[in-house]
Amino acid sequence: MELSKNFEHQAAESKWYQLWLDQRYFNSTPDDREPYTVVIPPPNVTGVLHMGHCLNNTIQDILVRRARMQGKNACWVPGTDHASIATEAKVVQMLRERGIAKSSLSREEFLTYAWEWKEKYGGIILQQLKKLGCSLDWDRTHFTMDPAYYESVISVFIDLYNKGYIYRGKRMINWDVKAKTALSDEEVIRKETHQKLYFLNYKIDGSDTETITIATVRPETIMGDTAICVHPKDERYAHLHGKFAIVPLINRRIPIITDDYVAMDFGTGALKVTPAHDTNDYQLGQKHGLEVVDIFNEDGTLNTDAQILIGEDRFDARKKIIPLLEAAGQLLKTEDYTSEVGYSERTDAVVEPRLSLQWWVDMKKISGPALSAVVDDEIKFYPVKFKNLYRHWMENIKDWCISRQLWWGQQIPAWYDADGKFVVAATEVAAKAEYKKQFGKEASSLKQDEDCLDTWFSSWLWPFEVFNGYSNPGNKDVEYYYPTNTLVTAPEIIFFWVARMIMAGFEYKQEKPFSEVYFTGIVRDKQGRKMSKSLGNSPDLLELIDRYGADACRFGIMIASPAGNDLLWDESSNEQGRNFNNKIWNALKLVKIWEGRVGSRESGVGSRESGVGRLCCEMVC
Amino acid sequence: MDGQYKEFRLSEALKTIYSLIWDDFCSWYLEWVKPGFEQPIDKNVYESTVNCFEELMLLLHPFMPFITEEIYHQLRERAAGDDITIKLQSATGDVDSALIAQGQLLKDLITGIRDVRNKQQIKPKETIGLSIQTENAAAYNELLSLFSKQVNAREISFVTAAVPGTITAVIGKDKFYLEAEKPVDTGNQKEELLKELEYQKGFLVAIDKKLGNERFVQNAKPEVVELERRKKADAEEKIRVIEESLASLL
Repeated sequence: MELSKNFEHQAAESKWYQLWLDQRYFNSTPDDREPYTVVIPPPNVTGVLHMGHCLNNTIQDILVRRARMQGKNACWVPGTDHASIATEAKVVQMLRERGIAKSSLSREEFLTYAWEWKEKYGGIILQQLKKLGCSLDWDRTHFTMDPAYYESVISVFIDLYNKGYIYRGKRMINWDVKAKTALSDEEVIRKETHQKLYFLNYKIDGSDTETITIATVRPETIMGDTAICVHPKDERYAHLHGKFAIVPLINRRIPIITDDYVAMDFGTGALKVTPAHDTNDYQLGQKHGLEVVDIFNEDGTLNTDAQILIGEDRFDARKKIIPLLEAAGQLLKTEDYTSEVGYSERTDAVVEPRLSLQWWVDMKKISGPALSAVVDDEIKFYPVKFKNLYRHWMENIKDWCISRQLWWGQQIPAWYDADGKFVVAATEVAAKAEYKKQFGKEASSLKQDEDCLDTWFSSWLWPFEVFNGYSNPGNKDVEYYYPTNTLVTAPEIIFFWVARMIMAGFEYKQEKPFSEVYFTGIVRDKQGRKMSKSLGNSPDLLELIDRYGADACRFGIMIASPAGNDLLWDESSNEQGRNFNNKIWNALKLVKIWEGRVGSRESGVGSRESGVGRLCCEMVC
Repeated sequence: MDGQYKEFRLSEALKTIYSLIWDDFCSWYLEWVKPGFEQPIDKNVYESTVNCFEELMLLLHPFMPFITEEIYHQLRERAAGDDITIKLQSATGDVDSALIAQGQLLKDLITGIRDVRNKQQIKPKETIGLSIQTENAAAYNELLSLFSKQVNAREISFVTAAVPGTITAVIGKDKFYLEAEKPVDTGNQKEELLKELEYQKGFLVAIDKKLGNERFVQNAKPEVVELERRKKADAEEKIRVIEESLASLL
């Protein structure tokens, strides 16, 4: 048969992938061989493959294929996560385009749409992984909202609640005004942001001329001020101790208090205290018993408690309040100022500190074994630099806010009576029984918590729950495949996911979830910028596979990725991969020409030359 | 490569395989075993070529699964179920370092002689006569037929002294005397040797400077320092050989 001029990747890719599937080469069942287990970091169910996935999954496939060729029982488990906030945002957007507001729908109606969306777009990314050649055991595909998985998540919530590891509490949280949900600290990205520092004069109560000047970057929140605080030893303000100041524009009378928390050298040394809208102010307010005046709606507009600028967005209000203050003669001066501001990882909205009743995991109670496992190298990190980062975070761990004001996800199994008393149970029936047990009377009606759980609260069970290790403990699969061998993941999710999987592993399996974690680098363009849709520098991977072939794309991303460092990718690496394909193909053509000319002679020269030939094969080993 | 896998240095592992296939296999090996125009190929040579190709595809497979599966099937008829995806890579054997040293020597010789041919503007079709002055002729025995084919030599002989009227090349510690079909200009050759001598002397000065730097010697890894010392010894040896050759030209 005549060989084609070049390697024809498209025909080869579909032919061989189908054959591999037909032969069930990627399917694994427990046997006598040594297992090599990898669980995929589940991509968002509605996501599409990007260069980061290409890198991450190519690495996993290389490890898994090599293990298979070394005679190990290789098992690579695929799946997707439901990506609560990202998916819900997409569904809301889709509904908006159809002219449907989320607020006009019931939870059930909304979820019907969401499932429709999932059925339609979910799984695209898994098909794309096939294009890349990934040797995943497709029979083991999991989704974090599969019924059994859902039940396990709920059951884990109840278990941790009963152990006293989960509690409900009113605390300052990070509020995403776009997605209208609480965020965990890890979902907040801090960025240096240029702002203005406004110096405002507050009149002293009972004096016509005397004022106290405060400096703030958020003049739109002054209507939420309930005190001014100065350092007790700051002599500039000693004469004002015990007096009251008047909030400009709305003329609220607020006390001047003292606390050594105030930095004398920042701004004017006098601090406006706004307990509803600043985490530190909230703590200060708690300490001094201050009133909390919340002036924002959940979408970040001003509510009636603000008294002025009602209905304005917080940033519009910031612009509009300045001329008002100026007109009142209370704006002293303005300075440029740069500081860190928190943005939502998902929506990029500036995060609003908000006082809110949420569900929390007490991390100090659950994180101990997970810290020592990494410190003692029971779980090895590559590159090793991530060990310190991990240790630092774990040693200073804060409680994990796990409730989200979203519908797409596991609904929190807490049930409330009309007075707000609640019990935690998987079903309404169980809740009623529990209620009776706890409160000694029948519940007339119980209403389930509206919120759902953080997606990471489901994916932290991934390494064992893909083998039903929680729902069906001791089963043959989990006994054989767990702990898994290698986790390949992006460093960005070391706290979101890696740390929490280790905690869940020790809590529910009394064993580490994996033996080693390889943190890949971040894919950047040749100018060193992170690839992103908004920058338009993120190439369409499927189109690249079409053009260059999956092998060339895998080559292109791997040749550019020094272990653990960021990699600068550009299309020329794919060209190099394609050239490599053709080099190999030409070698084949040459050898095939010789095939027709094999002589019967077996000369001594041959053995000598084949000796030199062996050299090629020996040099690698 | 086991080590590279273990440490997740996969990019390096891929580079190793890449250069093995592109340079060693395609550029050198296939050249060496290539039969003459329309000549038959030795059966053993063909077999070992296919084996070698197959081994390389096994190594590359985890990185580039599709083309390797395709080549695997193109190389031989395969029974159903004989696919590279589930083929076991052969366990890492002991490295035959003598064999590798020979391969490296052969590459150096071919590169070195081709280099001289180019500089002297000897056309590829012109044959040369080649005399080798070495203390270790045995090292060359196995390689002679391939070597002479690759550098297009009429004959190769071993000598114990310089051959007058030839072009001298120094490869490793040995001297090679090339005899072209047409006479060559010894002035040109002397110039070449002087240039090389100057380069080697400059190189030696640089190394001496480095080794004279106490901070380097104290702080660098011992193997790095050792490497520099070896480079110095090599350079000194080369200078000696070139000076001898120059003397014989006069």
